[in-house]
Amino acid sequence: MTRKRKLWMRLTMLSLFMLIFVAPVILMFLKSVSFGWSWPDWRPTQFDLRGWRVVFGDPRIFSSLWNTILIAGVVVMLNFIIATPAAYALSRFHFRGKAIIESLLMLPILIPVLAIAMGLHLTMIRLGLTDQVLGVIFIHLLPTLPYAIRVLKSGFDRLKNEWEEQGAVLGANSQTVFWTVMVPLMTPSIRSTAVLVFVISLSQYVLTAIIGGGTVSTLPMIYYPFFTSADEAVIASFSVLFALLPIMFLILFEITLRVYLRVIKRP
Amino acid sequence: MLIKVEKLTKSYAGQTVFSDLNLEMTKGEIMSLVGPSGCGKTTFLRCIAGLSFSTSGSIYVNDVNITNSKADERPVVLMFQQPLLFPHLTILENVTYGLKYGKNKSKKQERIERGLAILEKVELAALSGRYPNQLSGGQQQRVALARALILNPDLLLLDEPFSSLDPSLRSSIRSWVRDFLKKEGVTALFVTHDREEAMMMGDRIAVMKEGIFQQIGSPKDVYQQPKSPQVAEMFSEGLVMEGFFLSPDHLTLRPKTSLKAADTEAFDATVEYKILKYGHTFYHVYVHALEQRVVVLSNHEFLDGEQVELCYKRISLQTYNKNHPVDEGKSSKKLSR
Repeated sequence: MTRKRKLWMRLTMLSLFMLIFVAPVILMFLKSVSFGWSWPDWRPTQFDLRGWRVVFGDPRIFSSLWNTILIAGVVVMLNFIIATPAAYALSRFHFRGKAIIESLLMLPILIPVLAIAMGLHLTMIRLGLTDQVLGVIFIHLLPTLPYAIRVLKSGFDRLKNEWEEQGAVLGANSQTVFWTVMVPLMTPSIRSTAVLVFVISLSQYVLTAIIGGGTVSTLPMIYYPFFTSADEAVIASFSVLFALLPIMFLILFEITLRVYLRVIKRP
Repeated sequence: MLIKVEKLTKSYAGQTVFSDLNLEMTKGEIMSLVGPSGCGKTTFLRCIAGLSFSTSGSIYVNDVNITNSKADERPVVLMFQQPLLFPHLTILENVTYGLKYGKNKSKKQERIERGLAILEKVELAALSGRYPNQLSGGQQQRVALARALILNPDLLLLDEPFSSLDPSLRSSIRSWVRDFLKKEGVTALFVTHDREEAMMMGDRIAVMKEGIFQQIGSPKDVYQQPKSPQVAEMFSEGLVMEGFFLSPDHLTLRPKTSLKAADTEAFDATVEYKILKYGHTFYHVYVHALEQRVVVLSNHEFLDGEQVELCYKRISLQTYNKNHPVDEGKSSKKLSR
């Protein structure tokens, strides 16, 4: 009796999960490769790659894809370089005004980004950073760094001091301990930081538009205008392409992490 | 002297954690450092390991002053309360960590051989490829011990390494660890708050309270001849009085009606309960005049709640400082309340 009930519970949960998370993705993919699929047909009647042809037919698609990946990749790296020391210091040291600094660091995501971007635009014009990839990379740090610092800080908080001390008493200097003990133990936080930052950078439209001035074209720049069109197949194709990027990134990142751990682990 | 600590003092935020600690240890000696929690014993250990720095004083290992060296440069390894095995490394990789990333890097082949050899010694060679979470608490502590000893430290520091284990496991592993340390000739400083553990592990015992060493000596000396009421209260099981101490081996119980011998004094006491242990009956009695409880072995049968007399020979009363028997006139005056 209870066993049967358990089975039912599981089945319900599974179908709910499929309905909410998996079904829309499949639906979107089907939509991108079907032709004129609309009510009352319950399944696509005709398959056609027209949506994808439009997407890849755009002359800017490859350059903007490259730009998007380049910018997001560099932004992820810069985030780690800047956020790791900040997060470590905030987690390990106690000093006057720590709470104030912490809240200051969160400000970029509390204040509307547009308000900051307008002011920064002027500064960037003076510095000559507008209309180029470098400027866009810098401006993407704005909505990403607060998250990176937060996630990494809680990662360091979770790891007690003892691990570093254990490495030290075994004779390893602090740098070695960081790379061989802290980084491996921090992998969950590192992974979420990387994916979060990548996705945030990927979906920037306004900031890229303002600082890039239209010269730096990324995927969202050619993706958003299509929303005004009624061509569902094209939008679906774009969306699938968009969704694929973080997944590919995650796979690549995971492989890199695994290789790194392998190297560290050799006895 | 292998280890020499001179006038080591540590204060933190205006408060003295410990002061003027002197300690000498010879090679192969195991010293137990016992004291209540918060007495500064862990901080003292961390100062020797280099994880914390003293305010003044010096630490010598083999006549080399290491007072200001960093933790990774000292010939000293600390074992923590928790095993702290690196979870991403296998047992063998954990054990060879210090050989790979420490100061004196050795070749890969040598590392593996030495790692397996020491795992053999702690009887865990069969588990060398496992990960820490697949091992029991006791096994993990043995791996942590192997990981420390593979570096041949001049001094091994142990900070209550058995406190995270359950009681039955704790008693078996601590005797195993003691035998192992003795066999390997390791010099070790062992911190605990457990009196029995300190006695069992240490060749000598240092009793610490309120940031100073109250007494350093063999377990028997400290137990039978405490140098101060504090030591007596903490370490001995006898009766602690102002100015005097009665070692538990000099106490006997008898029914209240008995006659008094000429050289014997007695306290009125109440039997609270009895326990059977090691084939004998031990009585927990409450001494009214001193408001203290004491455990006494007796061959008489007493009932719970029975009024009894706790007897001692006057000659067995001892003072704290000189540790010799007290002359009779003085003691009887003192205790005639």
